[in-house]
Amino acid sequence: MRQVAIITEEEKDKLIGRQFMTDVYFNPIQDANNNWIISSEEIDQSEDKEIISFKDLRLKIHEAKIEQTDETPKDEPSKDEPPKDTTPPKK
Amino acid sequence: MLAVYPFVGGTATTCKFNLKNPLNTDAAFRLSFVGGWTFSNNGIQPNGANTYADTFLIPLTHWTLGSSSISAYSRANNVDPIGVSFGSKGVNFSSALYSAINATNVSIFHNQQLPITPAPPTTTALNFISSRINTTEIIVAYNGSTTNNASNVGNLSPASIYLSARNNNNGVPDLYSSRQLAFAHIGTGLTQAECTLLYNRIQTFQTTLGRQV
Repeated sequence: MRQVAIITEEEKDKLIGRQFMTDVYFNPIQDANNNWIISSEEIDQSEDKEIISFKDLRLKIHEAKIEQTDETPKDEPSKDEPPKDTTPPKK
Repeated sequence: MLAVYPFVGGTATTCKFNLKNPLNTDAAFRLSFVGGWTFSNNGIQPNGANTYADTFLIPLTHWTLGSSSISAYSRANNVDPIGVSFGSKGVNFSSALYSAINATNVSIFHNQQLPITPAPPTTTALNFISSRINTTEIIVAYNGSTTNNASNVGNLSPASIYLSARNNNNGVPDLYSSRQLAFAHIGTGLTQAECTLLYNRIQTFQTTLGRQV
């Protein structure tokens, strides 16, 4: 299971644009509950332990936002979709 | 070939360079790693939660509608129903570029509105190539085995291609993957014969490094 830690919005702002090791950037994201989180890998590998208080963070199982894998794209109608029936119902 | 990523050396700094143009610039398609990556002599390991690598290569700028290819060498045989090894998409699906591959379903978008759905591979630990050599067909290669699939081209994405996630509408990563990658390329269209040849060379390279699947 993927492990992450919840951080505050202020901590998120501190981490954005910062590298946690050479050539790799922090990526705070929001989980399914709109909490800001970072991954256990970012915490474990961070070369600067003073950016935020990592020792106070508690790991939890990641609850990802629902993502669309798009077997059928939702933002455009399918070309295979039959035209809507506009014939009035028979009485 | 526009970009070739051999993922050697075991660090972000050694894995980020494009072998075709090994300059430390976005214009040279040097990777920018974001999120909880780990690196080893076996390649680059995303975490499936918040990791992606920006190639800075934009299909709309660097590809043409009838000639493009991309590949990823996954070392992981796993379910991962959501993640993709590469991806880009503009506002609409007509420019979608990504491949969702697992044991039961395959959906491949290569600059078109609706996915092609070839039979799934026997394992997700494989070298996967998606290639367009014209505007009506997509060549799919699982290792050295290729198929030709009818598919009319749509548009080219204005969003740079991400590895191990999809760049959804220019700067919004999603479909995070957890599959370790040991090679990737982005280039112009490859024929079926060229796909097989590329796979053979990649596999020889991986075997030399002792990390082949």
